[in-house]
Amino acid sequence: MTAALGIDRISEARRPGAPGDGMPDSAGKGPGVLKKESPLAGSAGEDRRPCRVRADLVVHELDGEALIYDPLTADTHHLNATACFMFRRLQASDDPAVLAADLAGRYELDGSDARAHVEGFLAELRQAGLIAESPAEWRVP
Amino acid sequence: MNGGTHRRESTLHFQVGVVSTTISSAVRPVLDDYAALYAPFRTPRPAEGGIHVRVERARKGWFHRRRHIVTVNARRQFEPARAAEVVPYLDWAINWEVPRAYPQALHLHAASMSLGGQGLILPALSGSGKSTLASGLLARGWGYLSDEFAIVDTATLAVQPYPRCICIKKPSMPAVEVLGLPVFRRRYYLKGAKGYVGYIRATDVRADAVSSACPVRFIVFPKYVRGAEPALVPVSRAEAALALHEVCFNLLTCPTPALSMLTELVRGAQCYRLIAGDLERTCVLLERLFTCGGCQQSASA
Repeated sequence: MTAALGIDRISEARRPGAPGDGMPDSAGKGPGVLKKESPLAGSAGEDRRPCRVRADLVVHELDGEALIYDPLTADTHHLNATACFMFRRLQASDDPAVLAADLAGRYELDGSDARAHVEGFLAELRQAGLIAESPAEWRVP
Repeated sequence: MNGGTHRRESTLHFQVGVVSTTISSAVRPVLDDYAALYAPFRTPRPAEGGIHVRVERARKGWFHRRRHIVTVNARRQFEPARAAEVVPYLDWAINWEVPRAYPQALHLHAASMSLGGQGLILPALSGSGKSTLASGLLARGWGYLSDEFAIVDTATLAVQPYPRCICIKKPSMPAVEVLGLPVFRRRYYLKGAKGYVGYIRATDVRADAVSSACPVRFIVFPKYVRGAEPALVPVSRAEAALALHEVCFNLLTCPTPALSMLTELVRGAQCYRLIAGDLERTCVLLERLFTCGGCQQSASA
């Protein structure tokens, strides 16, 4: 089975200096922006659970995008450039706030937008079963 | 001796590109038809590790019409009932076995062609127009590798020839006949849900039509849209690798190395989606893609 994660819809065009760079409009519905609303974004209920991508995933990078093979389910996922950037950051850090700050820095987003994107991304990774929730799962088996 | 017939079984050997087959049958019309269809690929001796297909005629029972049994490497594969179905099912049975018989290669459901020593693979599911497009390109002088398989060598990543006869569905036949391509014996066969099909032998079009192995330079995912203006839309290499993953026949037998190989394959190629319309205009578009190195995106440009 193959799948493109929903994060795919975040457009690399939002990166400053990228062709067709278009920052999100005030409603957060700019071209290619993930439209999923996150009730946790920027709120007191923000999800700060530590999390990291599973260490056993096989990741192939291609021109800044990535293919991820999950040996447990035999599923393959496609990440576009933005999602790939976040995925790489998530391999290094278990703090969603750090990830949101990195994303905000790279794409010149405001804090709440960046947090919303990170929440949406993490939710999709969790749904796809690619997140290891506990430090014990971070190690390569 | 086989069920229901007392004729002696004959055995013929073929080397179709990298695929070796041995066909045994006492059903003479089937064997003769297949031998004629694949005459350019007959060999005197079997190759080691090839695919062995046996066609037998099953005994007619009280409740069953007389049918044929197609067995591949000792596994019963198909039981076509009508005589017109046997050759297509025999051909189909071989296709089923190719990825199993040659596990050292990557097998993609794709037509594969070449121009100037550069390979084009056209990966798509059935009904997307792969064979029609391969016929059109063949008529324009392209080298033929296969209409159904891209067999990619794992060591060199070159696409290998498997120049089986091109299977054209009856509705596509007028488009192919306009190009002057000869249909084998001008006869139609029955192939399951595909209905009536005819065959085109690449060597009937040109003696040197079969291409040798070559590197894959373009990966184009075709989709026939009736009446559409032919157009090429670039896709990222990661998207292309994901799409190739969906048409890979032997991914499950070796998923991790196969995915690495798909990644390497797309790294050396340019990748597009193709909206295929009128056959000639679509072929012209692909030719321009090759000659200008990947800048052409619509037939009218």
